[in-house]
Amino acid sequence: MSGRDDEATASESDLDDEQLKAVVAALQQEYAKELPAQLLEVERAYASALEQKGDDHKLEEATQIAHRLLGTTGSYGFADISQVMERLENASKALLGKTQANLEQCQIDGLWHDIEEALAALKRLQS
Amino acid sequence: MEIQKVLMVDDDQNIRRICQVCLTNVGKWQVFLASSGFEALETAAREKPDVILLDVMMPEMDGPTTLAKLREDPALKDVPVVLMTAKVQPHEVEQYTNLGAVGVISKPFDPLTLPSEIKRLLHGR
Repeated sequence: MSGRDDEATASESDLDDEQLKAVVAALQQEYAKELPAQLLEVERAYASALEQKGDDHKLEEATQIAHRLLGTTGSYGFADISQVMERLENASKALLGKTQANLEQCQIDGLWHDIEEALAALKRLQS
Repeated sequence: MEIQKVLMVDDDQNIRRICQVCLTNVGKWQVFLASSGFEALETAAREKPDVILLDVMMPEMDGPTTLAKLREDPALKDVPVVLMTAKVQPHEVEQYTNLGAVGVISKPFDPLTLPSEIKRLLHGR
């Protein structure tokens, strides 16, 4: 467990409502500073998956990152980004394990297109 | 039941952090943190929490596996466990409750209402 976790016990107990809101707002600001690096991680993972579309392992890795960020970004109040992560996860899960035997090629292409569109939306949110 | 001690288990430090602040200050509970299933088992055995919040997707030992191990331990088998996961589906809720979870909290969640959500699940048992 990190020292950062431990610090909270000593310094952030018995806050009144206003103090609590201020602490949560400070946590959100702190998280916002970390967010670009985390979004870069998911973008890189999907870029790798897009380069190797037949490799489920690459897509699985990217999906796990999107799943994690869906929960964390939303819980920190970044609802727009959380929704993009949900789009990425939905399309990825539909693709994972699917082959041309049980999914039409046009459906596969459509799901990859959904992923590309979600990544473009993520770029727009960051600009 | 009255909650005094909560064990929060998540491999994401940011989730642990915001949960700790809100569970401590809104719930007025003593909060213990663990970043893995292994650490959760150790901390639960040592601290005997009144409730455990357990993330589903964690590396090495995921939430359902950790839950199964808690249920195998005579000293911990009755501790209520609430699972947390993003985008939970109804069939997953059923699967997790069959494993012994008292409920599932979907991520994203509102950290300020998290304690009341936990109480709701515990009282609904």
